[in-house]
Amino acid sequence: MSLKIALTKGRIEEPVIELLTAAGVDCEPLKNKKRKLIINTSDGEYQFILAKGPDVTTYLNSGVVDIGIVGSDILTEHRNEQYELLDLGIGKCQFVLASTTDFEINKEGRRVIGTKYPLITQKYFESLGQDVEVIKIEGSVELAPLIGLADAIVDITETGTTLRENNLFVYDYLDKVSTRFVANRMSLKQKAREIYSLVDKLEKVIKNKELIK
Amino acid sequence: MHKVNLPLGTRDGFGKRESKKYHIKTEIEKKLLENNFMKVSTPLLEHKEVFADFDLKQMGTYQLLDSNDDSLILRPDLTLPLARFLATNNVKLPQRFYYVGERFKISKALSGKYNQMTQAGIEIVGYPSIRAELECMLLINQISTEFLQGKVQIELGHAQFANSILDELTQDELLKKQIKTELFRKNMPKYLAYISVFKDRKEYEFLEKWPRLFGNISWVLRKIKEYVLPEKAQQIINELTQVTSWLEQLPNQKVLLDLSVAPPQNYYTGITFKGFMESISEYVFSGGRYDQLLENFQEQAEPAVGMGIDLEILADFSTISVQKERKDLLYYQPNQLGLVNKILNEHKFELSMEDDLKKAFIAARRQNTKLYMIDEGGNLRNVTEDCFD
Repeated sequence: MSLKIALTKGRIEEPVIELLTAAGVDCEPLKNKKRKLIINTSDGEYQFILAKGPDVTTYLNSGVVDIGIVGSDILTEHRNEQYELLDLGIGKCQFVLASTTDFEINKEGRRVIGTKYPLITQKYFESLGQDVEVIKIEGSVELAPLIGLADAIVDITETGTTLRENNLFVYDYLDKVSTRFVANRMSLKQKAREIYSLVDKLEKVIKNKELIK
Repeated sequence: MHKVNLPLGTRDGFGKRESKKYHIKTEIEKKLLENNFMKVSTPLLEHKEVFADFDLKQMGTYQLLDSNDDSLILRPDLTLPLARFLATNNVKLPQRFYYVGERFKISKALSGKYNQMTQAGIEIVGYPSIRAELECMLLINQISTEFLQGKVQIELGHAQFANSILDELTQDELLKKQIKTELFRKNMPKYLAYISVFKDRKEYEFLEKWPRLFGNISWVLRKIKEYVLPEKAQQIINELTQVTSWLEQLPNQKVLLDLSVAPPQNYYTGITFKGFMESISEYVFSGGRYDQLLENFQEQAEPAVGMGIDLEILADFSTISVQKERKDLLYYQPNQLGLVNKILNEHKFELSMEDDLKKAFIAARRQNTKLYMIDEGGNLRNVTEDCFD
């Protein structure tokens, strides 16, 4: 019985493959995937599918994959109910509240906030005792305050370069984000040994990495 | 044109799946009636307060207002309505009940999940004996054998186990709640952060291992022997071990233990059990003991054990075949209706809807059945082989 793993495409693909390789998973087929969507390891132990982050949670929730590797930003925004077994310590970034220089957080009136993460944004402003109007944006969130769509944005940033290059300033730091190893609840019951064996190997690699640092 | 699309999360039932579902439902009801269970039907609509014990915020429910502006809810669960029923109808206890009906929960939109589900269940009220739990699990085994090739595994847990450990550990109620939440959700980064305050305590090793204490009984018991547990926790382990040994007498019954599992609802107080199958990502059975449930509806608490059975999963995954042979067709004239009535009392036919014999003949050929007609003498005649070409 192979483990089905949904892996988030893009930014974290490479560091995840690095981690998995170090944990003894044969990632050659994954590296040479070309346009394939389903990739089997040669020993038949793992099957990978590559998907967008939010879809990873959908796959996990419906039980069509056993494992999802996905950012905690997406897990929070999509109210994840599956088992978050490990923080992989990669894909690290942080939620920030950012805007142009003239932004005043405590100015009179209701702020308009552009974001890809409406739930997280709403929770953040609720914790400040503020009610804001949230506008959902799918990409290039930085544009929103620049072209006058929103007063500020809530978005994730790794280094802050994009923000700086667009003359946006960070007004507050929200939750930290990193990539998580998530198991479908039923899969963990059915394939506990296989899943925990992978978790333990990954954990060892992560600890060693931290030691070297 | 009228709007033709279904509301989100709903579906029509028809054809093979629907008859399979009906068959399973009927067989389960038959079995329960034969065992002297009393059937109870409660309305789909209840006052919102009936479900006060449910986390209604987290669970999406359909709510509406009646003519008095009272909040009504399409029941998301069938146990609480039954508790309400028992508190208000002077039904003699102890008693064993069963129900079959629809329940409604709003799942995440566009997630492929359905919001209306048929559930069957039993409630054994007024019996403190473990025999109540055993009867539920016996039923799981029987349904599993009959409809799921005996492949259902029973997973045992206990609603008090987590408290029995945490009560000895700390008096900090908030911390206990946080640990429990993350343990049940198996959110390891958060769980490890919460238990880190106990790093210097001898219990820490157990706490670290706790989320993994589930699975094969002998494995879990072997693991748990490595730690000294509070007396109450040990008692629970002994009770579960005992029950397991009884369950293993049942044919093909695999039993698992989970010491890190959340009770299905907040109102559970004792042993909990769930039934699942390899390769199905939902539980088919879920139940346990809730001795305080009735206290919320009346002054006196009653011991109670209940279990829900997911008829949708049974319909989806049962391997039984309910495809019946098609009945033969009977062609008749409207003025023979009295005769038809008599014939149907003795024979089984599908009545032909055709206005002439030739069309009836074509229809019989199409569905590959025999065709009968009533002749002038009032007798049945097989005309399948007659030629009408």
